[in-house]
Amino acid sequence: MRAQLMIGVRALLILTVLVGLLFPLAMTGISQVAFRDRANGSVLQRDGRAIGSGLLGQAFTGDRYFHPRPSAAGAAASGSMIDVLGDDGEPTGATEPADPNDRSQVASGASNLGPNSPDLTEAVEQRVAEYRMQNGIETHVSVPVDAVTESGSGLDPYISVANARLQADRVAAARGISVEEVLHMIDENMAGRVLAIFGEQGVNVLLLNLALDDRQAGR
Amino acid sequence: MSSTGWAQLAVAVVVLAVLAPLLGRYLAAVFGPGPAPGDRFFARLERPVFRLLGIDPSNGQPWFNYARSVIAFGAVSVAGLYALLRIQAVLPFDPTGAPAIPSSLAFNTAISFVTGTNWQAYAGENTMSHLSQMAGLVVAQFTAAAVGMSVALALVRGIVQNRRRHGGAPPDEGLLGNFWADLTRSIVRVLMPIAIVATLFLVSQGAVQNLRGNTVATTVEGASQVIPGGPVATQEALKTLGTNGGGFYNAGSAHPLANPNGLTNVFELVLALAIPFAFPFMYGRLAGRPREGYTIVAVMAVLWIAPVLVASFAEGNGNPRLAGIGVDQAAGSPQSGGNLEGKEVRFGPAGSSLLSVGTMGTSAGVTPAALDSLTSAGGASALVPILLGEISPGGVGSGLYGMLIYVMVAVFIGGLMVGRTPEYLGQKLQAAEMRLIALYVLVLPIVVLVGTGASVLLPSAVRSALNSGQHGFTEVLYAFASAANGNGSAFAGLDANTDWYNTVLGLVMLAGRFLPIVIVLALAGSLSRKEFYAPSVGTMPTTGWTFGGLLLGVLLVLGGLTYLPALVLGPIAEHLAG
Repeated sequence: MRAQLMIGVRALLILTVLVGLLFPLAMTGISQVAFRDRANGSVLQRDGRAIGSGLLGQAFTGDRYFHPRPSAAGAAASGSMIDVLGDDGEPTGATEPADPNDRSQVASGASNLGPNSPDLTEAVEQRVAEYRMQNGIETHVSVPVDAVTESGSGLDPYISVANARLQADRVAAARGISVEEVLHMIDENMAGRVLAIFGEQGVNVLLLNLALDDRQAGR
Repeated sequence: MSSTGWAQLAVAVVVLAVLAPLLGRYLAAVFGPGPAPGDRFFARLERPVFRLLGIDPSNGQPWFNYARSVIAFGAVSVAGLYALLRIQAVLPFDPTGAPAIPSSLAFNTAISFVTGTNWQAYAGENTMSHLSQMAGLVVAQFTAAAVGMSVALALVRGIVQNRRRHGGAPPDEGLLGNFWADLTRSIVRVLMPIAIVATLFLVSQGAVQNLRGNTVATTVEGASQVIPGGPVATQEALKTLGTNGGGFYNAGSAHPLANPNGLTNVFELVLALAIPFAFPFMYGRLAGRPREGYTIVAVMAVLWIAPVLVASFAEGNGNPRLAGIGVDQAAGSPQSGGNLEGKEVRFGPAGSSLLSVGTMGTSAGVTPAALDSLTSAGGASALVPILLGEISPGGVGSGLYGMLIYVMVAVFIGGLMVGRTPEYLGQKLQAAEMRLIALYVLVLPIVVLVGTGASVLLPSAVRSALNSGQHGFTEVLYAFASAANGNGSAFAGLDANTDWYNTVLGLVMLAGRFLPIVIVLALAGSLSRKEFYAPSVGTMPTTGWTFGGLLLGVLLVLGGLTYLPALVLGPIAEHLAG
């Protein structure tokens, strides 16, 4: 057994060097040359500063912007503001950016609520009411399911086209542009399906919002 | 199911139907006695490895020595990975300054990855250093897959060997090959080349591959957003290719930087299924009877596709509890609809069901969606392939040896029905073999059911479940099924990072991996020394529709008798309450 253990130690060391260091480092090297932007997270820059990732959902709350799906990810992962707490530990009403170095705030993740969970139905009911109020939707109109459920990663970059269209009136009003124009931009930013069959069609919220800002800034 | 859902399923099936036989032919050449493609190139890589190991690759081992090598390597790997996780804070490649991992979590994680389970009681982004991920976890993902392949090869050699016994014992009687050579060849000639291609493809689609820490973006509305870096694509490739399942990020394959789009989603499915479906083809070739392999592939395929279809329909239909409160779950051109809690828009219910449930029978347990939030029927579709013992098509290597055990059970039952001594490929299955086979069939259910039972009796362990009632029970049952069978996916609402679950699930993973391996190797040893009997008219064929049906029946009856009571308490009761 002792002899086998010694061979095992040597095998583990050799394989660690081979597939644990050489392999990932070589792949990193090739990726950094061949797919530099993608290998580094598809980071989007504005004025020389990182503003987000083209592949990651990002929190939006203002009326001028399309809103992403609700998120169960950490606030620093989704780019959400968090409540500022007063000396008494109660929210003061003000908000601040989450600390990117706070390890409890950087993980992706889902709600993990089961289909029959009363917590799930309660949360969804509340989101339905909020969504209708924000977007001026009457109570007989059903709300697209992606708008009121949390995604698997909490970082879903997409919303459904149905969801985007229902938000168009609000965004157009807040920006003072025509609804037709906003709807047109939704159509232009439809994406998500690869080679006609792989995946589902949606709208990348960050890219759409940036396109709206760029258009109005005359860029 | 949507038309794109059907199309994606069809593409995966067609690609696999072409790929698996070709890969099986390659594997048979690599691990068979004759020359193999690329011999000259690969031999040049392997020779120095063998020299450093101090072994002679042609030196065959009897079953006991083969098992001893497997266990020695497993023990060294667990110890090495445990040490790495404990001291990661003082090692390089740690741009985010990850602290040392506490002992119970390191114990659980080391066992989890060395056994190929990849149960993760932690969130990768906030726990692991880059070094731990690539030089610890990914190494274990390579070796776990290679060990599975080696054990399967040993069993195949044990079965096949005495078919060459025509007039006297073969010179290598009782020898099952050399474990260290099988381990090395599996990595150098099979896993590594595919992993390189797979990694680069994933990066080309947007998966991250760098050594950076977190890029902090200032969002459009002025908040801070962390864009995590790291060697993600290499791990994403290995977790699927090696049917391990442990991703870089907490969200696994739901994370857009790991599984960026619908194409990578189907790619990962094919990657996870390729080697497991190729192994029976390899087996048929090595046995000189390709039809044996086809029958096994057909049974695996039936058991694979049934839960995928159930889940696709169930998830596409949505959650009935949300229908009454103003939520539109209908599929239409502007939305995929369905039960989207825990799912990504870019995959929708079809793509999510395809990759998650489609890899549950491989022991990879890839999660492009939160399994905990699947409908009761969808969740059961994820759980059942695990409970059946990971044979549809099972993990890399382990799927074949698991299935061959059930083939022998079916042969035995068939033999009882016709009143003859059961024979498999010319060898009589007698008391010694049947004892081992019965032991194999009993080990996993005992571990799963005792572990689940003990946990639901412990108030503190019950409190770990996020959901209450039947769904909470399913969370616990799923954890033990997943750990014992080497799957590693989770109904992640269960807070498993407690001393109880870390310790008990760690032990369950050890037992669920190494007891079956030792039993399989002992069986291989026993078979390799048997007399060969030429088949006669009275021999029950082990190919074709009749035997395939018998095998399917045996699997479903055994699985059903064992787990139906537990399933009734969990997903079935939940479905009736829905």
